[in-house]
Amino acid sequence: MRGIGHVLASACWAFGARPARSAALVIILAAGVTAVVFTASVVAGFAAEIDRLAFGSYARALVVRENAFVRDRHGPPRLSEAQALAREVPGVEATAAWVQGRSQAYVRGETIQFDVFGVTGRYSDELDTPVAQGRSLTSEELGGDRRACLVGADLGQALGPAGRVGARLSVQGVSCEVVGVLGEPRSRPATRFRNAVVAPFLAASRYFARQPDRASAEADWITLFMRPGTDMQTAEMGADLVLRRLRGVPLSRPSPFAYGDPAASLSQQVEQRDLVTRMLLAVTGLTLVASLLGFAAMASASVVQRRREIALRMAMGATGGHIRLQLALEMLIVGLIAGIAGLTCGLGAAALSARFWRWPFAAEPEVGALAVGVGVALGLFVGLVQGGRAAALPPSLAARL
Amino acid sequence: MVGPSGCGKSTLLNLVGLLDRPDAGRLVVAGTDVTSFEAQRAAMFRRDHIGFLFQDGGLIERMTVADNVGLPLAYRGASARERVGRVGAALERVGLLARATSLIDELSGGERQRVGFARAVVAAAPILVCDEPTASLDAENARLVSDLLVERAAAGAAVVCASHEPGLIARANHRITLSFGRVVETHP
Repeated sequence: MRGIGHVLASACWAFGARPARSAALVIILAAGVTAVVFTASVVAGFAAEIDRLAFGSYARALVVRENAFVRDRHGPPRLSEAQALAREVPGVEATAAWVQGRSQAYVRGETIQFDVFGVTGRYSDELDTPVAQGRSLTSEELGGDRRACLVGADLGQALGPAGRVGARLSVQGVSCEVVGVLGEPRSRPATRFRNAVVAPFLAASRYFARQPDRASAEADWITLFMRPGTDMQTAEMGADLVLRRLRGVPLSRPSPFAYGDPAASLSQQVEQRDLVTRMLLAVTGLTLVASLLGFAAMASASVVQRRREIALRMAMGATGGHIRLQLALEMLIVGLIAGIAGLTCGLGAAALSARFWRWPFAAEPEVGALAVGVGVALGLFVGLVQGGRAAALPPSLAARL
Repeated sequence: MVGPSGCGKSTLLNLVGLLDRPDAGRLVVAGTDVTSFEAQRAAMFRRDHIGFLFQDGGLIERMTVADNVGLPLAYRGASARERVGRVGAALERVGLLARATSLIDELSGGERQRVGFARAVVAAAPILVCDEPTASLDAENARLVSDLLVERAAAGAAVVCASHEPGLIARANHRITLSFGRVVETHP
């Protein structure tokens, strides 16, 4: 087709020749794109917040425990295996190894029972509770057996002065320095630390949560924190292969370990989250349809306004193909600009709402591609339809005043 | 072509210019039977053979004078350099080279019609179809446009004109009179 270069230039000219009309087209389409971007960002951020509230760090964690149902017991997971898992399983962001026991303290003649957790590795994710007074356990303490501990909020209140920072708390008859008192848990799983003591792994396993039949380097569970987007089933298979190799257990035998994805079992929260997501998507869909209808109507009116211009171009030798292409390109330009404008506005609105409602702001590259894609696709679709209409106009309109 | 309003002058011009299709009969333009041309072929025929001059100039608003004049060349796929040269020459011929970058909205009626003429002849089309080219002009501009049309005819183009303007009619070397859609008189 001759004159393609001119058609491209004409499409750009048409966009700039009537700035008010072009701006109106961009705004009405950008409104729809904004709704899509806003919803996508809010859904992602809201889902992350719901996950955090419901599951805490378990939203994407794999928990490895001893499989109590196999006959030939291989024992619980070991600290050295946590390091091997961190190294060899794809998608592992960090690990933590935990040991848990039960203890009691005597305060003012009263027996107070509480849990004792020993931990090493990145424990703050799973603890998911701020330190209200004092400090956290240092990495040196976590790697050794220093008798230092954090006290949960409820336990700290029950213990009174014995539970304050700097006090020496007697756990299983062994004294432990209270270095920090925990505040309010941020997530539901973290509530178990309210009435508990958290100590370095080796200190807990040797002194405070001692189990007679257990070596000090054996953990009750190892938590693998996975990177976002990691497939949990693949991670579980990878972890099992590593541990089988380390323990010399062939695939023909039952696995010596059990793997838990704690988030997977909490289906009710997932259903609630999905319901909200579906509602938001429905509202977005309606907004998008309204935007598309408005955009199509305005583009249609634009063709009616430009009947003489189109007919004049045909009189000068433009074919139906030239006209169709020009209209499609014009709307493509509108769609591209609307996509970028909608992306900017949508992300801005999502960032503001995230700050207002205090949930994570999610700006993923897919959202950007979605915004521009929606803008371009709608623009092109309307452009092709209106281009077809314009190309069908009789060229004799050129002669009419 | 002369005749009272509604006698069919514009319809016949639209047929000659392939802007309309005949309901019946045969249409031969420049020796080519164009009766059955579909839209695509008609567009290409117009592009290669016909220039148009409409009553109001038929220019595209918000576009520059040069871009309007260059339209027929653009759809022929002429290079930018060729377009600049031929558009400049056509505008010089109508005395509007200095207004090449002006917008159409800034021109007077006479200037518009001269720009329309420049566009009609820029591609050297062998047929020039003009619908009341002087109807909306004052006497001086009407004379100027008439001169340009006569000059174009003298250069070998077939200038087909519908007009009520006695001055222009008097300068035609062939005249047909229409009434109620029929040719009632030819001269000479």
